[in-house]
Amino acid sequence: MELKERLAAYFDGNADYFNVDIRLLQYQVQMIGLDSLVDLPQSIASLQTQTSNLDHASLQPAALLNILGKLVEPKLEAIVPDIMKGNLILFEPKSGTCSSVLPIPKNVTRSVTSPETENTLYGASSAFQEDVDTNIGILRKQCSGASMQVETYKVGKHHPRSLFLIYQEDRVDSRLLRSVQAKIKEGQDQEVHHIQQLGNMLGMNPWSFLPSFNMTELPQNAAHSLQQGKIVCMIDRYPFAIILPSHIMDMFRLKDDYNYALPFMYLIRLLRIIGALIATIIPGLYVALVSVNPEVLRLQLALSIANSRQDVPYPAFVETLLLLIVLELILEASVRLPKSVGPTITMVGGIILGQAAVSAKLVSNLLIIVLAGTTIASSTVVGFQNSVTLRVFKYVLIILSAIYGMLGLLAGIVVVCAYLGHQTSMGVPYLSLPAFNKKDERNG
Amino acid sequence: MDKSGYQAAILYVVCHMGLIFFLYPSDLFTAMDMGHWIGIGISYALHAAALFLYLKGLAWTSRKNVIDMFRSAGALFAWLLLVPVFVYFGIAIIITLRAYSEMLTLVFLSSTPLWAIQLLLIGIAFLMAWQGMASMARTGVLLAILFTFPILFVLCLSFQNVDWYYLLPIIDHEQTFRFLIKPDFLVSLFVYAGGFFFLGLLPASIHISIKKMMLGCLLLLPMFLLSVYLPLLTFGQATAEMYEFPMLMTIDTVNITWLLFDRITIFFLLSLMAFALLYLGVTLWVLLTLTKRAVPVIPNIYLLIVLTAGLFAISMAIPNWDFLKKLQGWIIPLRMYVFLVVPLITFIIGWRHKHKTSRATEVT
Repeated sequence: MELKERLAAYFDGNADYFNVDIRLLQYQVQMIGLDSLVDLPQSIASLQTQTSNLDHASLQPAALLNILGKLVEPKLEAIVPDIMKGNLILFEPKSGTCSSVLPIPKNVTRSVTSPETENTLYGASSAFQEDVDTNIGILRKQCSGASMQVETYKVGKHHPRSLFLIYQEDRVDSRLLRSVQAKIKEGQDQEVHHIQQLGNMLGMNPWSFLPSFNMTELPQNAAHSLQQGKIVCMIDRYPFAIILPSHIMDMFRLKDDYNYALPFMYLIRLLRIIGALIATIIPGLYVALVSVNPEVLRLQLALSIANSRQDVPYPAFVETLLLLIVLELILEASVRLPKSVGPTITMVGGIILGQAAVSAKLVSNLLIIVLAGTTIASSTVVGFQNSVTLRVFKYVLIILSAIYGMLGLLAGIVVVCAYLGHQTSMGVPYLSLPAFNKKDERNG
Repeated sequence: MDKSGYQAAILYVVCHMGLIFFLYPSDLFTAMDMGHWIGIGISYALHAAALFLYLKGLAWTSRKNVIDMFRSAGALFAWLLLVPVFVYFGIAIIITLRAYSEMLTLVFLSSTPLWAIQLLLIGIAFLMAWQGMASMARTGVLLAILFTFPILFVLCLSFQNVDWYYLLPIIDHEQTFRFLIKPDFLVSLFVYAGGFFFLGLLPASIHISIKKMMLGCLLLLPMFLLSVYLPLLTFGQATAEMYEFPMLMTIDTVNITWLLFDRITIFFLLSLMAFALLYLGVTLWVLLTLTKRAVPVIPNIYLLIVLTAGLFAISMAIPNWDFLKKLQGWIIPLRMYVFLVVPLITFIIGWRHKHKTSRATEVT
């Protein structure tokens, strides 16, 4: 069978496959590609412009095709991956030469826009997007030094994807780099479609409650991490830079903080730390104070709390858990819902449900305040994945507080601290000091 | 990963902070009537000297751990030396566990059964010991960051009710050193002894800097003094002597009108409990490491489970507070051994090792 038929058979179920004949100089050439990825008329026009001022007579087909693109073997196995990638195949049947040409592509990626999940106040507001080449371009503009290195890997057997490993040669810890490279090479056959699979490939603990990666949509944050000696990973079709390893201080630091005056920078970071503490401790504290150790509170305060809880029919633990779960539901729903419906949920959840729950004596007034404060506080930390972590930790504290009161609260804090102390990300302890790379004098 | 020596120093300070403020003041009040600073000074000087000898001995053998050092002098010798250490730390955990649970019931968990509190405490210690020393060292730093502020806050405020006249007489005309051999005084050495033994077992990844350790030791001196003198200045010797936990009573007297909470004791107690939990974890880890070297075939986790269960059972079997007091009296010889003899032996072995290597280099 000829190549043309074999290709037609291979792409039988693909309506966007095309194979057209065009004339380049004196040769009749087949043009093969996918309509959905290649802008055909524009590509033909561009090829013809390129060939029009070439010397006709002496040029052999192979030489001509070599000028236009990269010669490939005229075999099905060699051509198909190129077509899938969105390249254009030129095939000259008489001589049997074949070349893969970079066409004018159909525009299938969005242009660089402002970030969706992270907001910047005083910083550059272009965000990464799905196309990895664009991402690396943006990152190169942020990090214009010569030491930035970009390594590329093809990962996955059935659905190969490009994975990029970016680091600054003079900053990165060579042991860390070597271990990441070795892990990627070892797991090159594994499919990497999402972060869990990437974590598997890099040998992260899948059951960890802490984010093993730090993800950011903002090029300046990724560039900052590179300067700190971290490694940035990028996957094609994934609009986030994945930063390795992740640290506790990543919860509180942001590159944009440097755009404030120094005292404000420290104050804002302090605020985030306080926010994290409030988010984990306050619900547990409420349970401990209301149900086990009310004597710790000032008498007037204890009385007013008791008063507000007077008609609530169940223990503080159940009460807190009930409302917390409702809050989690609201949070999850508002992420899922389209932007036009989101505010409705907020209104229903906040005003109607909150007010009604108090009026119906299902929960106490104070609890509404406590939980609203908690939810707000847990979002003060940098990165949504970190706020999810905080949301989990508070349940440990609530359960222990319900059993042991204030002692349980403390025990919970110690357990969480011990847990943080035990976690590592790519062999680097999660609790290592901010000065991860001593070469950088501005680690912040 | 820590090369600066901060982790080890912080761990050392934190472990001692967890011990100082609870049992120490009442023991010292029973032991001495006047001139408490002399008693504190002598014990502190001994502590600093023992710490220095121990660290110096370790440093000379270029970061070998204590077990290996003792082994280099013969396997039987090592067994003889380390079995008392093992027994001492076992009893130290039991005493800490039991005494702290009693105290917690006393202060704010009157309806919770003792076993439940003990279970919680030893459970957390188990968790920490299981994770290993490197994790515990990092946890220690985090705990120090989180809880230092409340402790300092309470310590500053607890000067509210002091009467400086109680400081007098600074020295008694008939001051003798007879208190040194009183059992109560020897019991009070609990806080000085053994809190630093774990330094000899640290993995190589945690660096020890003698300078930073001695600075940490210096930091403890005001804490020792405060733990005794705050109750003394607030109540006077005659009253303070009667309390089981004089320091907690002192803080209970503090009244702050602008605070949300009625009793700031809770901050103090809980912050120190966090440190005490770390001490329990570290001591359990010391026991685990010693056992592991004695029976290397059994996996760590089983050893740890057996140890924890055993210690929990023994501490449950202690019938009452009086028995606990007696137990503390019985282990005085062991305590003095761990406090003074072990550092001295370490120093001597280290010194001999250094001598040998220097002679070897001279010959070559």
